[in-house]
Amino acid sequence: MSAVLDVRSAPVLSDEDRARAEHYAVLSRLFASAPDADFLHRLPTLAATWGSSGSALGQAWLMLGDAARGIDAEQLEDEYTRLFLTIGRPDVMLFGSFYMAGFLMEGPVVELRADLAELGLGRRFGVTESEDHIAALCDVMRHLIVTGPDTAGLGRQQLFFTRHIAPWFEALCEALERAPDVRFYPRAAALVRAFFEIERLAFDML
Amino acid sequence: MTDKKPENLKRRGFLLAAGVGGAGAVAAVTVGVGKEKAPPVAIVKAEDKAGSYQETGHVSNYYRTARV
Repeated sequence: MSAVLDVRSAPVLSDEDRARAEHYAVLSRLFASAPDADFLHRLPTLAATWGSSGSALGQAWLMLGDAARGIDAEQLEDEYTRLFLTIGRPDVMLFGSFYMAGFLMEGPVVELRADLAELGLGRRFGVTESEDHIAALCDVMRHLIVTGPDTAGLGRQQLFFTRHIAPWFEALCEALERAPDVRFYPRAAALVRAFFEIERLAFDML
Repeated sequence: MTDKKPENLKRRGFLLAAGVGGAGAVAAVTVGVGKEKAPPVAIVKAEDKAGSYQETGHVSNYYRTARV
């Protein structure tokens, strides 16, 4: 071929893969730490972009946009801390091992680390949370999407999602929806549920 | 689109119909897809702790996920 190739550092993504990558980025950001004011203020814009009354995902976005408008960063940090960071036993665990094995740092983490090593990934230096944190798993999925939109890459995405996210995201969402005295994260849970359900169904089509 | 097999067209159609794609993709809300390096399996914090990033044998190219 004599055509000039558009050489980039990452493969060109289709519209849907770009959107998937961005959804994973948003979900990671929602759960990695309390959204700061900047990110919180962007959520209604994202909701206007992706929101729609015609799909579960679109509805989840609209509701999350409303929730973002109804809370400030300080209140949200309080909610995040109370839900996820309480010393001892937080209201809601964000780690897959807890849902898949009943305890933190159990067998699923060992398997996850093996799969990450296979993918050439590891935990960032200085990070104390284990790799099965929902935000970390979303980071991995985004990485797999942007680096491997081809058939082989899709296979890697499917395997990782099926092994490390699909078994427990619903339990996480239920815990978020049951949590007392919170108003933002149950809405975030609806987005998690809607998006991951789409992912699961779409992987089934491969 | 690197793959035009019928089954992937079906998958693509499903994703677009479900709201994953379309206008949202144009929004490009995330910063630096494919441009910025980021740590692997970052349990990302709001503040960018890029200074602590260490490139080791286990670290592959990884694109920034933290900042949305």
